[in-house]
Amino acid sequence: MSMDPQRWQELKSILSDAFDQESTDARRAWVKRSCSGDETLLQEAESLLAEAEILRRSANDDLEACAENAARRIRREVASQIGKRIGAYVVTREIGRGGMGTVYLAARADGYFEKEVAIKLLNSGIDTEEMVQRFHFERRVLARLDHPNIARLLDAGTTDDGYQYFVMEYVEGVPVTRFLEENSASISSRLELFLKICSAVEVAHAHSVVHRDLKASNILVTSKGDVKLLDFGIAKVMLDAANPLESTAPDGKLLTPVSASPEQARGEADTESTDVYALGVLLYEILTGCKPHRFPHRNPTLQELLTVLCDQEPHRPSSVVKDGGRQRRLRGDLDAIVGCALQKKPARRYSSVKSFAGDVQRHLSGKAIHVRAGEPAYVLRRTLSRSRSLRLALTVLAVASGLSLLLLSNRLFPTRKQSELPRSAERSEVSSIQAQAKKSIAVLPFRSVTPGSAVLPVESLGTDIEDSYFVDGIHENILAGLTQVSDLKVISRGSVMAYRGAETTRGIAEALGVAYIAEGSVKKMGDRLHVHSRLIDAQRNTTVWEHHYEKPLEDVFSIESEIVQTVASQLNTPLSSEEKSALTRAPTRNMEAYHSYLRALHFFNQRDYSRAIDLLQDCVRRDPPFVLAYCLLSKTYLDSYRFVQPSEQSLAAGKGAAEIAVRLAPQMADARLAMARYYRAARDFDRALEELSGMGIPRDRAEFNELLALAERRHGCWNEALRHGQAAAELDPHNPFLAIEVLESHIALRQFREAEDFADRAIKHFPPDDDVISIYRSYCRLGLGKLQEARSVLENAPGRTVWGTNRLIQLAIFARDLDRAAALLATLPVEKKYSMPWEGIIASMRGDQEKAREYYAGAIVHYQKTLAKRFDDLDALSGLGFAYAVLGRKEEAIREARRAVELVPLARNAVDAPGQILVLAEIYAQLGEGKAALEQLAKVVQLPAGPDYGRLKFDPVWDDIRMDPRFQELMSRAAQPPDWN
Amino acid sequence: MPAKANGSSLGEMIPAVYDELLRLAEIYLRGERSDHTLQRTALVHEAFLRLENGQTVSWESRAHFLGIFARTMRQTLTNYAIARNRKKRGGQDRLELAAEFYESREIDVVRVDEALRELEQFDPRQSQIVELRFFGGLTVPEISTAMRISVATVQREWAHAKVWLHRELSRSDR
Repeated sequence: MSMDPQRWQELKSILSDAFDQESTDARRAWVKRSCSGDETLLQEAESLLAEAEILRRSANDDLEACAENAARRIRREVASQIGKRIGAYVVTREIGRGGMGTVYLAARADGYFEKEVAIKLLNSGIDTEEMVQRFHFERRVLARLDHPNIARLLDAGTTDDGYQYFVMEYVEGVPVTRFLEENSASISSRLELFLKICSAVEVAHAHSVVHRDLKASNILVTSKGDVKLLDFGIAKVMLDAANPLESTAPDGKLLTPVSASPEQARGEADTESTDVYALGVLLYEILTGCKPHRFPHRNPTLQELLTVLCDQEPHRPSSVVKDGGRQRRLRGDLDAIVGCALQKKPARRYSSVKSFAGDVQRHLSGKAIHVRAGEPAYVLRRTLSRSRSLRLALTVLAVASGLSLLLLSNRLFPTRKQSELPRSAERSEVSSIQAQAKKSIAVLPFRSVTPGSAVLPVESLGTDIEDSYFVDGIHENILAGLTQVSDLKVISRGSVMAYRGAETTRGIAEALGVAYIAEGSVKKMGDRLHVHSRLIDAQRNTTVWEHHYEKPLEDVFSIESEIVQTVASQLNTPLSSEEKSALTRAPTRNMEAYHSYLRALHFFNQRDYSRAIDLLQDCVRRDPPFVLAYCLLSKTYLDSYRFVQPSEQSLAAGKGAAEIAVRLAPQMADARLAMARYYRAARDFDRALEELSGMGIPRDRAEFNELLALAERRHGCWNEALRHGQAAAELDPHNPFLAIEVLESHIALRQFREAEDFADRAIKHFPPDDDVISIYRSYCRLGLGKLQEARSVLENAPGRTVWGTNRLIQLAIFARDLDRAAALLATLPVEKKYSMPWEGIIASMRGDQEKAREYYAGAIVHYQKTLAKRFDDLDALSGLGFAYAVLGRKEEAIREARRAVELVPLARNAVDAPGQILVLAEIYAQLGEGKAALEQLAKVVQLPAGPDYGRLKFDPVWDDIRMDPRFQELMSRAAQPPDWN
Repeated sequence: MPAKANGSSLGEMIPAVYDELLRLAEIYLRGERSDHTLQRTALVHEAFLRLENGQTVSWESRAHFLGIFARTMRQTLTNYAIARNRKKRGGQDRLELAAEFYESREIDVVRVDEALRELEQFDPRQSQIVELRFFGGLTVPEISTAMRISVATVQREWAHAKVWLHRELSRSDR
C-alpha cells in the first residue's frame, strides 16, 4: 500500500504534536481527537504511535545505533575507550587526540607490571587481508627499532571492532621546544640536542622506517634530560592503510599539519627526504622559537596551505630573531643549513639525515660545512659499474618497462578473452561517423522553472525531482536528436552536464570547441508545458533564434522534434527525410512508460543501476516494444558489470536486453550500438566491430567512436583507431579515458609531437594536480631520445602517482641514477615488492648479489602463485621468465617468455604482442644470446607499440650488443615512424 | 537561486568521484586492491578535499556529493547484504563488519532499502534524510547543512522516519 503524500504530511503533523504531550494517555487522546471522523487515518496514526511507545521504552534504538555505526565506520571516530580493555591493557585516561587517532594512558590488566603504557588507537579500521598483513609487517619492523632516544613499541594489534592500536613506552616529558624555552639553552646546547634527535632518526632510516610526522610535539624531553621520539613509523602504517575520506576531520577541516613538507601538502608520497624537511622545520623552531611558515589564519584551507608551503620561501632564521648576538650566530652557516633542509624540492635538500647532521656537526666543530662548499649532498652519486650483474638487473627492468605503462587504458579493463581478427575487407564498411562537421554545437542542460520557486539546478537533493526527470528528458532527447543529424558535431551529454546552471556561454563554447550553444528552460503549469529555447552564436554572442512553445503536456515529443529541426535548419544542416521520420517517431506512445524511462535515465546518470533496472523493467512491461528502454536496460546491466560487480548474470542480462532491442528494431543504430557494447564488455572486439560496421547514427556518437577505436586498435588498424579516438575525444572532451586512448595511439605510432600537442589541449580536462598527462609527455620525450627531459617533465609534474613513481624509477635507472631510484622506490608500498622488479635491479646494480638472488627467488614464488590463479597473466609470465634468466635457468626463462608471446599473437592482438616479443628479445640479450635477441628485436622495431629509440638507446639491457652494427641499424629504424598494414 | 557552478573542474569531478567510489566499493567487495587502487584512492581523496576546501565549490555541489556518497553506501551495503545472504562470507573487511553490526542489531538492510523506496514515493525529503543518516553516516547537523533545512526539522523527520521504519521492518518480519 502506498501512502498519499498529503495524508502522510497530515499524519506527521498529528504525531509530532502528539509527541509533545506529557503522557501515553494524553498522546493517545490527542491522536484520537485529531483524527476524529477519519477512521483510516486514525488507524495509521495509532499504529505508528504504538510503535513510538515501544521505541520509547526500549533501551536500544537499533536504527540510531546503525546510523552511529555508519558514521563511525566512515569517519572513523572511536567512542570513548576509558575503562575498556585493549589487548592486555586497561585504558585509564585519554592523554591526547589527533587526526590519526587518540592516545590513552593504560596499565596491564593483570596488574603484573605497574608500568604504565601509552596506547595509540587509530581511527582507521583494517579492511582487507592485505592490510592486515601489511600492518603485521610494519609492526615487526617497528618492534626491531631499539634506540635509547626512540620510544619503544611494546605491542600492537587490532581491537575486536577492527581498529589498529599501538602500545608504546609511556614517556613523561615536555615537547622539545618548550624544554628549550624553559631552560633558555645556548645555541650550541640546542644543536647538541638536535643532533641526538637526528641520530635517532638516522637509526630508524637505516631500518627503512620513515617517521613522516616529525614535529616538536612528538619529541619529548624527560625530566632527566633524555630525548624521546614518539610515534615512529605509525604515520606510515596509518596513511597507507587509510581510507581517503579519513584524512579530513568530521568538521571538514584539513588535518594536514601546518608543518607538512610541500610534497606532503600536495599529497605525494613521502620519503626520508620528508623527514629531512621536518627536521629542518624543527631546527628552525629550535633556533628561533618560531615556525618557518606564516599562515593567514589558524585553520588554513588546502589552497592557502599549498601556497604557503609550496611557493613562499621562509625568512632566514637569522632575520626572525631579535637579539643581535643571536642574529650573528645564526647568519651564515646555520641559515644555509636550515635553508638546504627546507628546500621545496626534495632533490635539492640534504640527501639524508646523516648528511644534514654532518653539516650541523661540522658547524659545531668549526669546520667548513658542505652545503656552503657548493656541494649539495644530493649530487653524490656512485659511478656506474659496468659489471655483469648490472646488466642482468637492467634486463629485468626492461621487461617491466615493456609491460608497465604504455597502453594503459587497455589494462584498466584486463583482457579476458582474445578475439579473432576481422578480415580487412569488412573494415571498409565501417561508417566513419566523424566529428569533422563544420557546424558544432553544445546543448546545455535545460533549466526547470517551477512557479513559485527559484531557478535551481535540479539535482538529486532538490525537491522537484519529478520535474527534474522530465526536464532532463527533454534535454536528452533534443541533444540526441541533434546528434543524429549527420553534418552536425554535437558535444555529448557527459561533457555538457558539467555546465549545468553555468552562465557565460562564450567560455563554455571555447572550452568545448563549438561555435553554437543551445539552451532552454522548461515550465510545467498544470497540464500545459512551456518550453523556451534559444540558439546562440557563441563567437558573436548573439541570439540566432529563440522561441517559446506552449502545448499540452503530452505533446512533449513534438516540441522536441520541432526544436531539433529548427535548430538544424538554422544551422543550414537540414535533416534528410529519413532523419526527419526517425525524429518524429515518438519513442513510446505510453506516457507512463515514458515517465518510468525518464526516471530510469535519471538514476542511470546517477549511476544508481539497481533502481534504473527496476524502472526499466517496469517500462518494458508497460510498453513491450519500447526499444530505447531495452537499449538503456542493456547499457545499465553492462555498466554495472564493468563498474560495480563483474557478475556473469549482469553480463548475460545485458546481452539479453540488447538482443531484444535488435530483434525489435534491426535497423536502429541504438540497438546495434547496444549489441556492440555487449561485445566490448565481453572483450569480443571482432564482433563489436561487426556490429558497428555500416550502422546508422546512434544517439551517442562519442561512445560509438570510442568502441570503434578500441576494436580497431586491437586489430592493428592504428590510423582508423586514432581517427575514431580523436572524434570521440572531440565529442566528449571531458572524458579523460578518451583522451588517454588518443595519447596512447599517438605514442604507439611514435607521433610524439602530435601527442604533446594533444596533451596541451587535453590537460585542462584532467585534475590539475595529476601526473597522468606528464607520464605520457615523458614517454614522448624518451621516444625522441631525450632522457633528461623525460625525467624532468615527470619530476616536475604537479602530482605523483604510483604509475608516475614507477616510471621515474625506470628513467632514473636508464640514467644510472641509482640513489634517486632507491629513494623513489622507498615511497612505494611494500606489498608492491614484486609488481615491478626495482628492488632486485637496484640490489644487483649496487653489486649486492646476495640480496638480488634472494629477491628473484622470492619473485619466482610470487609469479608462480599469480599464474596458478590466472594462467594467462602476461606480466607474471614475463616477470617469471626474467627471474629465471637472472638466476641462470635458461630453458625455463625462454619457455615462459615464449608462452607469453604465444598468448597474444600479433595477428590477434596488435596492442600487447609487440611488448611481449620485446620481452623475449630482452631475455635473450640477458642470457647473452645476442643473435637471437636481434632476431626478435627486428620483428618489432618497426611495429606500432614496439620499442622506441630512447628505449634502445638508454636501456642497459642492450649494452652487450649496442655496438653491433645490426643493433645500430635497428636503433635508427626505431627513430623512424613505424611501418604497418 | 542560480548555481554558481564553476564549470569544468568540479562538474566533471563529481561523476568521476562517484565512479571511483563505486570502484573502491567493488574492490572492497572482492577484498583485494588492484594496481590502480592507489591512484583511484588519490583521486577520490583529491576530489573530496577540493569539495571540502575549494573556495569556488557551491553548496549544491557539496550537497550533491554527499547525496551521491550516501547513495553509494546504500547500494553497496544492500548489494553486499544480498550477496552475503546467498553465501556466508567471513573476514574482517569493512563491509563484513558493517553487515555483522546490522546482524547484531537485527536490522535487515535489504528491507530498509525496500522500505526507503516506498517512503520515497510519498516523502522524498524524509527518505533522503534517512539515506544520509542511516547509510551515509552523516550527523544531524551535517544533514541540516547539506539539505539547507533546520536541525530541528532534520531531527523531527529522522525521529518520524525511525518510527515508521521500525513498524515496516517488524511488519515484514511476520
